Amino acid sequence: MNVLTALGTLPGGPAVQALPEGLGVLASPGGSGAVEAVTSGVRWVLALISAIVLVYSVAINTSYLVLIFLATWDAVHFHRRMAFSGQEDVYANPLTPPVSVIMPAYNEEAGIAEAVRSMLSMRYPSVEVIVVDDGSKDGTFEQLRKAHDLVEIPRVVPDDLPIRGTVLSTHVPADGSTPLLVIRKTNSGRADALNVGVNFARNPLVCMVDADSLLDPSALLSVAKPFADDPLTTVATGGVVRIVNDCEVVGGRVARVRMPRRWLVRIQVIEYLRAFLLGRTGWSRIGGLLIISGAFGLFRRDALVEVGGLDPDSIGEDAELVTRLHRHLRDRGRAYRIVFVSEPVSWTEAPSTTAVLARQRRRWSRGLAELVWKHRGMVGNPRYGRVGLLVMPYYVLFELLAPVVNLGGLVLVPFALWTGSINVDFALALLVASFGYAILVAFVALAVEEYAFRRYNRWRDLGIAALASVAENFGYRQFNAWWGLQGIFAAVRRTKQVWGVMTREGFSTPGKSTGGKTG
Amino acid sequence: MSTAQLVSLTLAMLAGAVTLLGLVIVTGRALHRRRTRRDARLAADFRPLLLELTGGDDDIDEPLRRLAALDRRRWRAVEPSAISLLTKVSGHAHAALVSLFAQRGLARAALRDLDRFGAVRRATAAHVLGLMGHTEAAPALAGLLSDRSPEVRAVAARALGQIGAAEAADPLLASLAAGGGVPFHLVAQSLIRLGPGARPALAKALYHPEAAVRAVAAEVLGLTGAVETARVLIGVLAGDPSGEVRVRTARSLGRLGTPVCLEALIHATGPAHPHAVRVEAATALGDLGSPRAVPALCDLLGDPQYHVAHNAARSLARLGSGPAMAVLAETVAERPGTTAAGHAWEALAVLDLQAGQLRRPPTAPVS
Repeated sequence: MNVLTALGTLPGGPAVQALPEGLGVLASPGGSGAVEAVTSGVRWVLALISAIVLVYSVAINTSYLVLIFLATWDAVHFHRRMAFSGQEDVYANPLTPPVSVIMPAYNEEAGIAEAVRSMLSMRYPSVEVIVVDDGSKDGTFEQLRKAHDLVEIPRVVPDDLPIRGTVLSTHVPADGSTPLLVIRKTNSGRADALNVGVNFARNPLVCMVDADSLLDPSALLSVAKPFADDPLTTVATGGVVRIVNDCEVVGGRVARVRMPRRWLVRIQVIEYLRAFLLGRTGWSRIGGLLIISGAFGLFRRDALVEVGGLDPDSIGEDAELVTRLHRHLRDRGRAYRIVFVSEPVSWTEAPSTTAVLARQRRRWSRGLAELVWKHRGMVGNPRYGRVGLLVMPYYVLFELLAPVVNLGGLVLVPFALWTGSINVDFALALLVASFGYAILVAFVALAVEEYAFRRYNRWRDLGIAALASVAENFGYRQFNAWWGLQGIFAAVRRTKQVWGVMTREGFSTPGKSTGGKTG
Repeated sequence: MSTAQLVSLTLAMLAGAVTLLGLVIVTGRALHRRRTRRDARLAADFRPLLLELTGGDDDIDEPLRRLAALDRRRWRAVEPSAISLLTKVSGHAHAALVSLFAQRGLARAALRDLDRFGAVRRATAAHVLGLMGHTEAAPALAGLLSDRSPEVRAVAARALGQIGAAEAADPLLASLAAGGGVPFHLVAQSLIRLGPGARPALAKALYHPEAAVRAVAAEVLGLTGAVETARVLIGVLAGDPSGEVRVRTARSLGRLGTPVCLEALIHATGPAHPHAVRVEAATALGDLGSPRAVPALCDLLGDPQYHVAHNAARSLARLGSGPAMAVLAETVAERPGTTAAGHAWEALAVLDLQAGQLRRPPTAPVS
């Protein structure tokens, strides 16, 4: 592309003649004097910024495309090996490691009983469920007590991981055999609640799930398979999180997958598909998975204890934990695998209002900024292999800085066009690189989904997904960038961390609703 | 080429690519649906014959003849159901299906396919041969344990277990060595299926330089009740350099349940051993079921490491004998307010719950 050539020849003087045609205004004959020099300088800077935005847009979309192609390799493999994959082997195998599922719960009275019942009926040979009631102010514990006939059994509080909250009481079902433990503690945040759960966990693998997530019945089997395949080096696996809004839910299971009714959520479906399913699968394929969603991740308990558990001071504690695992294991030169499994699914409710979405995105952006700052020594450091040389710089450049470049481009490029620093052709090139290419990437992701997973069966859903792929670029992306920028500023200013209230609408169940809740 | 022309060309290319992708998605979905409907219809037509074949009737000649005579198109629709049934049935039903597959030449074709270029073809062939228990395929399948495709290696390992030829033990264990990349659990399961014939190879593997090989050998020996190898396993528990191997060996010694394991397991609960080994040994003493473990478990109740003490209490509860219960009750009564009493009380409380009554909490709070 000639813009790239131009970037190398920008330093002014006769070189401006070498600029591409789109930046031709810079080469126009100028006047004389200081004013003319300043004007020319401003135009030059605006043209340079426009060129950077163009290159950035092409690079970021190309990176998505590369990740999707890497993920496609896995998807094709998954599809072709289904006939002989032998998932049943994991279920029937006496060596399949037992799992402790940890569900931190804060004001989850609307769905906690059903969520626990659903978790206890997961298809897995040996599983215990630990619910950590993190000082709920509603009837979360009462719902559990009624549904599972809980009785109090005082227990010694384990101290493998340091905890901040105080354990108030521990409860088990009165039948003495249901593998459920409910821990009541003072409120100290999700990360600390998970650490308490890890302390009490009896099994070598711990699965962290949100209390409002729904898991596919065989999700645990699939996500535990890498541990069964390679128990000596696998330390963590993450599963796909999909959006449950407006899907049909029966008995705590997603019975029918449908596209959500609201466009705001529909666009998030496309976003999750591209970034969280295919993007993470792509990173996992090259050994660079940095984020395992807090809504569904499986870890070796001893590895968690070794790194000190989750950081209660981090607002993006799930990604921070995985980064710390990478760092810790690389520092000690140990062979390890952190794997993303693309088929087991945890279903979670996505924000359906702009206000809640904004809070979520600010939190994500702030979490990423704090993570990068905390582990800045890893960025570009060959000691950390691909994670240091490729993944961390990628996250800095294309995740953390994306809001800055996107919004900068949104404001400055029209200004550059207005001042004549760039011409209409160049502005069009920018639009094509930014929007056209993004739509193409979204369609490639849709094609992979259609070939490998086919979760959305209705023709109507397919049409909606295609339209959402286009609509994402107009408004949604720009607001997302704004909220991301706010998150970065919050991290820089170190303001008080707030999770905020996630207003939930509950799941759509034929004949009844599970009700809404806040948490 | 001017910028305007370049932009127009790029735009046209993007629009073309998006349209093409849209067409691929729509066409792919339409074709997939059509194929699924057709196969379901054809499979439904012949499912009664399959059920007749595997239903346990003495006279299977008629369904066998009709299914063996199906043309390729119909058989392609029936085959997935037939293979799926093969994984679920045993005895006469299994033999009837194997006979059907043999008549259709599936075993011959699968043996040929083991050498094909495509990994899916090789893996499918190995899968079918394993399900059929085709003994003659064992050497070729052992060769596939070093196949370039991980899927093929995995399916070959499983198939060798299904066939059950004891001589496959050595290649199966070797496939776990560095670079082998065969799933650990599949190798273990296959070795279990091979039965007692694999024990000499497993005992030898306890001295293999690779930790993964030693770990799987130790686990399988415990799971298959190889009591004659208990002394060798005791040596591994005492001196293996890998913590993971020692953890699995402790578990196996507990499963073996012979008195000779007692002292070694008690020793493994000592503070000189890694935390994970101590925790597993405390559990294994409960599995072992010997009342002679009670004094050692009693001492462990006061261990500063939570999971060691907790598992010791659970093991005492599992022993269930008079001395074990007495130790738990005495600890609650005589050491109130200590963590040992807390662990003991919890173990007793769980037993009470299982018996349908709830014990009163200890008088002194547990810190």
